[in-house]
Amino acid sequence: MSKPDVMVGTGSNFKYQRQWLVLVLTAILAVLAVTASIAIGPVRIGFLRVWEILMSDNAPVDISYQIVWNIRLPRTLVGCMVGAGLALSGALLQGVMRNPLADPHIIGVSAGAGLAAVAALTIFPQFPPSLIPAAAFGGALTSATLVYGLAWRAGVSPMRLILSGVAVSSLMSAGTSALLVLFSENVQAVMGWLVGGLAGRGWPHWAQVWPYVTVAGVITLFTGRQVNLLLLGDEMATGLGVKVEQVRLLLIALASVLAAAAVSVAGLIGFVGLVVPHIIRLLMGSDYRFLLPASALGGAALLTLADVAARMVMDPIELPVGILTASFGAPFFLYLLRRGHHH
Amino acid sequence: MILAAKELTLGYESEIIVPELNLFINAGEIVTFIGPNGSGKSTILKALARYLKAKSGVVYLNGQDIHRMPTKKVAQQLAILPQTPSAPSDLTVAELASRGRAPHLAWWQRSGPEDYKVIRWALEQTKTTHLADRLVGTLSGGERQRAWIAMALAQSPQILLLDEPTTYLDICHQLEVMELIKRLNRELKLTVVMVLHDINQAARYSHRLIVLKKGRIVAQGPPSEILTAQLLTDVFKVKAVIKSDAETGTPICLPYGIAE
Ligand SMILES: Nc1ncnc2c1ncn2[C@@H]1O[C@H](COP(=O)(O)OP(=O)(O)O)[C@@H](O)[C@H]1O
Ligand SMILES: [Mg+2]
Repeated sequence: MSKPDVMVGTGSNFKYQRQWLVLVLTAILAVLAVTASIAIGPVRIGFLRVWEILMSDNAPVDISYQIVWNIRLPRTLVGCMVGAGLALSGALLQGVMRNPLADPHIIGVSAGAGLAAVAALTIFPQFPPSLIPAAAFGGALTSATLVYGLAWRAGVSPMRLILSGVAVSSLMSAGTSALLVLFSENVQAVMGWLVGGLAGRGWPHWAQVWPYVTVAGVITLFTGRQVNLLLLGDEMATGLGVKVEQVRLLLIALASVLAAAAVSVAGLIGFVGLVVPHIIRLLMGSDYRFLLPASALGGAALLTLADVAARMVMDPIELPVGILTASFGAPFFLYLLRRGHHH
Repeated sequence: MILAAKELTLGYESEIIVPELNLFINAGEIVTFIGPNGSGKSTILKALARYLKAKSGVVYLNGQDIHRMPTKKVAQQLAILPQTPSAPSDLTVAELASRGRAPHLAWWQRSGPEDYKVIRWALEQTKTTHLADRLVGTLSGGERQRAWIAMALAQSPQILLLDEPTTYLDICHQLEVMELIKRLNRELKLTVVMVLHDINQAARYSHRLIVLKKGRIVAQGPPSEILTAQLLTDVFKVKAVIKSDAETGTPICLPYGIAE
């Protein structure tokens, strides 16, 4: 984290203080969300008890202990990784594209993951379910590479990237639809994946998602200053010593890995990548040295809370969390569009 | 010779805009490009700043091929302000100026006391200290231009490239920016290479003019030596009389009609 640039001025706008405040608040919110997610369910566990079970070496191995360690903790942690991954990915892409409406879907990650997963589930019914995340991950990265490659013409401009993303995504979605029609007997299995959710996610999913999100996420946190410079425009950034194309490629690669890992274990979860960085930006401004960590924390908190809600609203039926994020994300998206987009 | 171009051919896609350009800039000079719209002034400036890759030829910065130098090293010596730079709407003047320190920091480093000293100095030089906490987007045109120049100064460069720094300003703010540039050149020995639209301002504030037409240099030298009615007719297609400023001796051109 940088020292305050306001050390130069009088600091009369309190921007630096606000940035830290929002960062601390998102961290607290994330901790609360994790606690709530582990505590709430058919069997209620007290908030303090949750932390006792998690922290204490000699907590009694009772039913609560079993539920926490075997069911709710892994699901919650997967949710945190998915939320953080999507939000970081969205934040990066909004910076790279200099467009606040960019999100992980724009580079074809979701469509690619969807096509690969659906192909695996439909064409190869014997495909081991435990390998679906790996297939989705591969599909997502392939698709992102394709989008980047098609947009390349002596460099990649944000506009071409968006157009190329739209084209590739449409193609992949068409492929997905075709598979669903051709292999309609397997649709049931596919639907669950396509809707997106955290139901039944456990330690194997955790193992699939955390290495990618952690490694790419940590690298991402060091790119804040580069994104800040890119926000001044390609020409200005070059003038300030940024290797624009290389940095852009790195940032897009990071965003792809983050989103691909998230989508591969949780299916298609919309709007987290779009909305979270946006809310954070409204609260603290667009300094990416702060925006990136706050987005990661905010994304983890938001998806975890959405998952708690998804389990509670229609109890005992569990809603897929993707439906929930979409139903509060879509109105917010419309609100952004109406406000017009200035960045 | 701090900056030089040798047989520089520039263009976009397959189109050639500037063929085989040779030029040199001496340390401490103020050199201004003038020429009609589309004559390649911005294109040349972008190439001198290594933003636009040349189709062939070389740009030398202090004798070194600019594309073979680490780009951060270049940024420590040369700063550029594009014609219409843009910034996030919540960026303050102090933050903007602090971006200028980027070339002096490795990726793991944060700004230190030394950097803040330079930033404060850059704000003082451009008289924007009192604006430090204002948002760049809320400044008047003249103030904004000074804030951007503060950012460029925070790079502590030897050379400053400016693309039409006065174009969207009213006359008072234009002169304010031009006086600032003149003072930076005098007091800091900053070499300035710029593009100006206003021929009279170019003549008044430059040691040397480079006149461009369709990507080629048609004249260059001290304003009083090269600005003639014939040149203005040839290059800008206007009829004009050239007077001499009684006080400074710099030429003043008064266009009065369009040449056929
Ligand atoms: N990015 C670009 N792509 C294609 N052509 C360009 C681009 N930028 C400038 N040009 C063309 O190059 C020529 C010179 O432009 P420019 O250097 O901007 O002129 P000036 O700054 O002298 O007005 C013009 O004909 C313009 O259309
Ligand atoms: Mg121009």
